[in-house]
Amino acid sequence: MLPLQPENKTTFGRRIKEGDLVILYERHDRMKAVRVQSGAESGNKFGVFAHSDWIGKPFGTKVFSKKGGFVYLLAPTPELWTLVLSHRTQILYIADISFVVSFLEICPGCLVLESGTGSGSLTTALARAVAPTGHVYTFDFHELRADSAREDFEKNGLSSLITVEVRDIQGKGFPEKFCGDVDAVFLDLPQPWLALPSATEALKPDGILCSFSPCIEQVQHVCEILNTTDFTDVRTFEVLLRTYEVREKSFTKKVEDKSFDEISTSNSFPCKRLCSEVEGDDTLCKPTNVQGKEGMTEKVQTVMARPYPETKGHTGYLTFARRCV
Amino acid sequence: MASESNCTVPESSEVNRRANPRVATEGCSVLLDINDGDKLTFARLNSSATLKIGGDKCSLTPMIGCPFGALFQVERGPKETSLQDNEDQKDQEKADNKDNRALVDNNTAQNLSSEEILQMRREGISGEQIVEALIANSSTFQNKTAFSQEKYKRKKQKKYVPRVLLRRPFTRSICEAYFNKWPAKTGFLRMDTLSLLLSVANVSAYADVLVLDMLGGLVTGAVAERMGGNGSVCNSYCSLRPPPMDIVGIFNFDGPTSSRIFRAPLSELISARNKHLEEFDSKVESGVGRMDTSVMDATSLSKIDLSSNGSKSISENRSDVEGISSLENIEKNPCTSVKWLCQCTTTDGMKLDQQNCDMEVTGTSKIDFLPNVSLVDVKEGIESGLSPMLHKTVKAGRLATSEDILYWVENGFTSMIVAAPELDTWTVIVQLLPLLSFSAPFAIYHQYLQNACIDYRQNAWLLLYKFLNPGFVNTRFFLLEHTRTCK
Repeated sequence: MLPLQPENKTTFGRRIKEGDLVILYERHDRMKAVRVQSGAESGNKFGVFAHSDWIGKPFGTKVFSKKGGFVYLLAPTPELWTLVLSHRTQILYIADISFVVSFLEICPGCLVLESGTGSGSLTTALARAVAPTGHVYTFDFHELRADSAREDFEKNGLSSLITVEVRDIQGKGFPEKFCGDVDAVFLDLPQPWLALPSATEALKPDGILCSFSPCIEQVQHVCEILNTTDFTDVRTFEVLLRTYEVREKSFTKKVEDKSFDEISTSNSFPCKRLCSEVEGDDTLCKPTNVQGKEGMTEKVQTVMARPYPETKGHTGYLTFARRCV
Repeated sequence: MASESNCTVPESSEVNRRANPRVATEGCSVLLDINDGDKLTFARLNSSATLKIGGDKCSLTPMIGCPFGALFQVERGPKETSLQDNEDQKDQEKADNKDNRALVDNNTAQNLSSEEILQMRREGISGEQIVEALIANSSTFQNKTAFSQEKYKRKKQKKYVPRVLLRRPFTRSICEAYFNKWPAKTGFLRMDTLSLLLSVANVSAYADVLVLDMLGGLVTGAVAERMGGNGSVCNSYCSLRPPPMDIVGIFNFDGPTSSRIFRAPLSELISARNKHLEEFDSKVESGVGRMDTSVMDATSLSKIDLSSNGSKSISENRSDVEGISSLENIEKNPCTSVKWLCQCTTTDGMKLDQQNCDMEVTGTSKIDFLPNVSLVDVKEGIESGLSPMLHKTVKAGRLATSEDILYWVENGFTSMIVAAPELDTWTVIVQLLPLLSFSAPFAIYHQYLQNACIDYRQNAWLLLYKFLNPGFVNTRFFLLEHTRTCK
């Protein structure tokens, strides 16, 4: 998933080969991850796709099923992985993930602690941010989920960057060996204040802590403690994304047409009202594009955007704080 | 129940310490946060550097060698004003049942006159003592709520004991400083949008990212920071002269990171790509070497026509573009600060034509043309074991050589970010996309909606999932029982 080896970089010369992970893309909200195996087939509503047809093709290729339907084969990225991974727990999505990675101020070479691992959605993005010389230590108290996450990271070629451990951080805190070495800590726990003392010990001065909590009461309790201990710059954010669909639309420029029943959505003809209010002033009444032309029937083609009726709502509050120097 | 960890913690690598310095050294750039964000200023920590606060100048020398995050307070002595370490005391707030019904704001509450305060300053009485004197001489202070008392105290402290926080220049702090104080310089790019750009464009080590950055170099710097000296970021431009990239200098990049930031005019990238494809096509025709036909189908169709006579599809698009540009701009709403971000992914390339790419960029301020620095200089610098000041000797943004351009042309860029408020988005994208590798993600930022809407249907090969994402970020401060929303 990350171009840690030069032969895996998505270049013009890169070809899909046996064992690669590809993202089978149907549309923006429907895609799945598939491991390429010659002889195997994948099916969806567009038909059955033979993996052997994919081998040797570049990523991004449109491939066809036996019955003529098609899908795209995309190269995996942490963003696409977030959309296709199996949800063993509630995951973080791109809006929160990108925010966390940026505000934790991590870059290649950093050491990051995370608890809990969950489904590994954020962990993958953290690994990308610290590659190739940094490391992510992620902890989860559920052994089976930790094993599944470890397996995913192994398959995605990330195990050199991520270490998964089974540990109850709320009960035992982070291991003492991290004392003062850690650049950033991320907490996604029901009672994150229980992990704060060991997080404080682990963090470098000026290192950043982030706590993700869905409920405002949890946030309040965390902030109360952060404000009275060795942390400063305590800020809580809520990130919401609104998606828009883009269409090309034509708007009529007709001003007077009895057969035109629809209300014009054009917003640039104030003179339409003025015509009835102002008398004897021709310059105000005439739309400028009508003078001497067939402009009365002209249409304007423009690209417009409209918000999707459904948008993702509240996921959680992100509280960031900086370890005092 | 929990298994014992059996792995050792890697020692903080030399790479991390050099690339991610936590201490302010001489000559590095710093962000000074005065009075909790009231004033933000970038500075370079030279021995002669000074900071002007409230009419007084104080030297920044005490900051050299201090860790980032250190807090200083300004003490105005009888002879000079200086920076001293600040002991930040956390105040405990208690809830109480007072209110402001008895308060009358008629400017008579304070018994100390301005003359007396000035005299105290002349006598060298410390700022803290002056604040305490003001509190003691305020007839209404004791009747205020705890929250209100704290607010009063902080207000007086800001004036008489200004505090300066030494912040580390990082993408986040730099972007936020510019957004709060000089947003026009960075195209009103807010940090949450920038973080989305970096994620969506899959910026990481070993990536080769094409950037069209007309935001002073903020996006270029952010990309280079995420790459940490591995991979490359090519800051390309359509204009005859490169736009300024001075913000990159604020990041304190070390030599290896700076050396991976390149500049190349778009016309050179495109002509190199066309030339490469012509050579490829002629080899195929003459039967030289083994050729993969699938490669030929993909690459031969992505040749770019540099002639000024655009195709019919482009001329149709131009009318759409003109239609877009004639619409009134959206008024930026200061409350919601909506930003428009467009995310797309390329599929296999198809035939494409383009307009003449020479566009004069208007409205740019200083043109920052950086000299060509060869890679040899960087290597020598590292081997001689120079201090973290190495970054001063390697300027980021060297002109890409023909070998660099050939590498990008042969392999393609792994992703692209476009942040060019002055340019028409559609025309720009059309020129840049053939330079991207297959399945490469790209992201476009524009503060105005119309310019971020690109008409994707004209070219079926473009984009797979495409959406506009204005982000809404609510910042909340929690003070025990008081919660307020900030901008």
